Amino acid sequence: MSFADMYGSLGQEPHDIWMVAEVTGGKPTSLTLEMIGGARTMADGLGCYVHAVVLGNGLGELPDLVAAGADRVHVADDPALAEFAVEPYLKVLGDLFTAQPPEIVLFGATPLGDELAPRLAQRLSTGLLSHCASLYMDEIERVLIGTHPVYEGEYSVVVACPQARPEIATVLQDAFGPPYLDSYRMGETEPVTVDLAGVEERVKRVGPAEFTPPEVPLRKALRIVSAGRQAGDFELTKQLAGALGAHVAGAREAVDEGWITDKQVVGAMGESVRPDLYVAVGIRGDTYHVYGIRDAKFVVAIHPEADAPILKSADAGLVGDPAKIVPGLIEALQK
Amino acid sequence: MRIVVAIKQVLDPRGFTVNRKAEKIFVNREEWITNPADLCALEAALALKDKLGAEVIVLSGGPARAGDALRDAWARGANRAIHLSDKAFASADGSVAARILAKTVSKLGDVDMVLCGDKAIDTGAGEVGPRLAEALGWPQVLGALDVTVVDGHVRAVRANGKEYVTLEAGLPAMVTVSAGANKQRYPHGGRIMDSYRQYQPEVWTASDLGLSEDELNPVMDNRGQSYPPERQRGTILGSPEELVRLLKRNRVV
Amino acid sequence: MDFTFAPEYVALRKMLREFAEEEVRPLAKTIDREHRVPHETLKKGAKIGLLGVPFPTKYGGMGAGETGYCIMMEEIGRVCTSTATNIGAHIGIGAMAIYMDGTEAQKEKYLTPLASGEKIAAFALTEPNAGSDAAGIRTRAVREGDSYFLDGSKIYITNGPIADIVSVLAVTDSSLGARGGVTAFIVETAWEGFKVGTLENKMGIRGSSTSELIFDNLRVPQENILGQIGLGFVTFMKTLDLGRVSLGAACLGGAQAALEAAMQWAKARNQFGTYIAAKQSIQWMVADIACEIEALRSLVYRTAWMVDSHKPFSREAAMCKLYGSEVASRAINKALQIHGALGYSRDHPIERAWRDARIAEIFEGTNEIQRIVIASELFQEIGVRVRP
Repeated sequence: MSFADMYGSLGQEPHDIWMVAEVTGGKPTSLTLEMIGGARTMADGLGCYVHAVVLGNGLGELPDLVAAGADRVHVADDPALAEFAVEPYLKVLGDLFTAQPPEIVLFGATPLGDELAPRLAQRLSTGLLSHCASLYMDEIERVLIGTHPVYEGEYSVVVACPQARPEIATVLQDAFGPPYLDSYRMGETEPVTVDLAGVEERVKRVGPAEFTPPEVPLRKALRIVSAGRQAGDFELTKQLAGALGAHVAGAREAVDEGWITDKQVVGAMGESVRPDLYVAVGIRGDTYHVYGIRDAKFVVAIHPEADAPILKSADAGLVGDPAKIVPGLIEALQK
Repeated sequence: MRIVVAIKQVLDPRGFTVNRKAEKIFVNREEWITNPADLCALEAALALKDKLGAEVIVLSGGPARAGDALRDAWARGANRAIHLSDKAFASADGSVAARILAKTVSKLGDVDMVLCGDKAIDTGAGEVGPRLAEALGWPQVLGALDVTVVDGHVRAVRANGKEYVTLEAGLPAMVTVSAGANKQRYPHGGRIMDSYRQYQPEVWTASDLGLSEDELNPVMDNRGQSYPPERQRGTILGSPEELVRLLKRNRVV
Repeated sequence: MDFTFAPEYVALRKMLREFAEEEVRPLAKTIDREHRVPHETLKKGAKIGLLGVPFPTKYGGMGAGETGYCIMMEEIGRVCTSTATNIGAHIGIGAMAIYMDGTEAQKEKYLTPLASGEKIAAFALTEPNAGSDAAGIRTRAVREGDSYFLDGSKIYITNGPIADIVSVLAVTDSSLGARGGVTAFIVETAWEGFKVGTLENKMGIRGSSTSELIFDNLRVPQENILGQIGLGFVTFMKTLDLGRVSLGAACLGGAQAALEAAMQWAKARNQFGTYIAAKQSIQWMVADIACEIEALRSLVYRTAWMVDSHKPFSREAAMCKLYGSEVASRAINKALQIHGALGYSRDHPIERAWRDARIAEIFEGTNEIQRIVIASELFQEIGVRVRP
């Protein structure tokens, strides 16, 4: 179905950039503000407006949405929308986008976005630029170009939806830079009529569950925190692993220290691992150990000696006492 | 009970390397595997077959090699395997794939549940599941780790941060399953032999499904590849906060 | 001539590769260190038909023939020689003897539980005085009514300590010697008079159990005679013949693993300013290993094809065993050299591979015997009898 079929009867061309805002703790999420900022830049280039849609219940003032660049904020405030639920949210958005057809709709690549964006795209017979790590408007062709990582980020695919409208995209954190909040910016806020007649959320939350995921062996672990002779307090290594949801491993000397079993040794004489993240705490990184992480995607090394070989091959290194650095790292991760 | 599982083949990432500097993908060993999350979905379906005697029908699009994935699914225990095969399907994007699958499910009739992987490793989009749910007009449960059926309802356990939560929806429903949800059974070697010697997957074409050319036109355009920057080895940072920012920028945490 | 594997074998190999990597490899070091049999792995394998790969489905096997069996032995041999030995002794000689010469009733009673892995088999030929000179066995089987009573002992029997069913060769008429005086029996280890003797403390394949078997007035009913009375030697030699092909396949797997490991190390190991893969000495070693593996691969699978096509294969089978064991030893030796001192560490798998490989030149008929078999067959073709 072409957009002319869809919208022609309403006499409206799709226009403007819309985004679906998410609010936690009464404030818009940082991703929401980033997206508004990105939309603002694109809208300025196209000469059109930025709309932000917020759904919820008991939503207070959200001045940051305008400050970040929204021209118009559409607020759908209704008890039925208090918790995110697919069907009610989709109905409200669908009605809104039928009445005011967007050229572009942005969602965050969040649980909400992952549930709603593809469904909306199918409902409107349009394309989806999913999980974009970067997004820009090609002004000559007037089409949105999105780049999204595939194969766990080995490379990225560049996609576009040239004809169908709206162009819907889900956006990853940091795809757009941090927004510029200008409290002098002017924008309108208008309420959205919520009509949920005959709409029922068919997926219900029953309650918390107990689940034990299947054990992942070290050689398949996606995140590993590994200790070497200079790690100091092994407890800290374990805590860091906990904070990252990582497996605990070590260089061969960690067995001598009594910290790990020989099944957790990484290196030529132990396991070869291929995690997305490998944190080497206090490991000097001789050939035999580094052999075990040759296929690791991102290596972080923490070591007191600036001349430790591992610091040369790691993607990122921190020089200093692990006893001081590791707690700082755990804290920074939990923020 | 009738369960449909949609699977697809992806290129085995262990068979290719990406040279970031040259901005090229070198395929050293072209091997096709069933998308890992789809195998988890199939395993969840087979567990329901074991427990409830459900009928499991596996679907896959793709060229001739998809037959191997379908035979593998049959060897693992699926009752039927259907190859959705047509030249017109080759250009399918998410919207078209959802239409093809929806038509197939309708044509099969009496389907209680559709299971598929939540994401494919070659697209990372996670869109076909919800699109299919929309095309069928069914509720969707995404990212399930455990799937059971209780009193005509599907119950799924999925992650909620570091904890887990149970969701429930009436049947029929569309459920996507996450990779790592379960450990898959190995097919019996005899079944593998039979999957080629005795068995033949069914083949359905565009005309079998009554799909028009219009419905098979993709809306998405592939504009090429882009490559991550070369690894900056040996970078020394000043603080843990700087490290965390770098990790987030690289989407490692 | 089509040298590709039929798609069902490709699919089978894929599954076996996964099973080997996920279930067998993780335990390889442990079972060697702890000197134990990986029962848990054998049980898992049994569930998917691994313990009956070549046998027809009507006996509970996988119906994959000798080709499928060789593929399995190659894939398992690539990750753990001990596990391959456990399975090989069970399928390739223990159960195979019953498959080759058993009656329908015997196959139903014994082969079916063996093919499904419910029971484990062993093959008892060797004695302290009868190794290569198999005709020198002394275990007696004395007839009394409708039973035979076995007395004697066997040595170096793989799976001896864990077997439920053993094919045993015993002397029924010492005056007739090997031709007519020796009979094969199917023995259940639960029977009175059967005892497992000393467990061997081996250099390698320590994840496989090898022991003495002692028969003390062990009563065997006459229904359990395997093959013809007095012609047990024929049954046993036939079985050993066939077992050589899959042994070659296991050696192929081991050699392949050595090559892969050596190449990975050569890629990573940096000396004199570059990776050692850039050094000619390493390249030549790799090329030599690869050539031998390629030749062995063709030999093994062509011989498997001959078996499955019901063509004579005795000479080629001996070649599989002879060449396979020597290729594996050479490949592993070179690979160890490429690893340098690392290869000498007991923490590194190549050290274990080196110890494991050595037995292949000795058991299942020493390589000296294989050479005699090959030479005598060749000379026979030109009218020369050279049997010793």
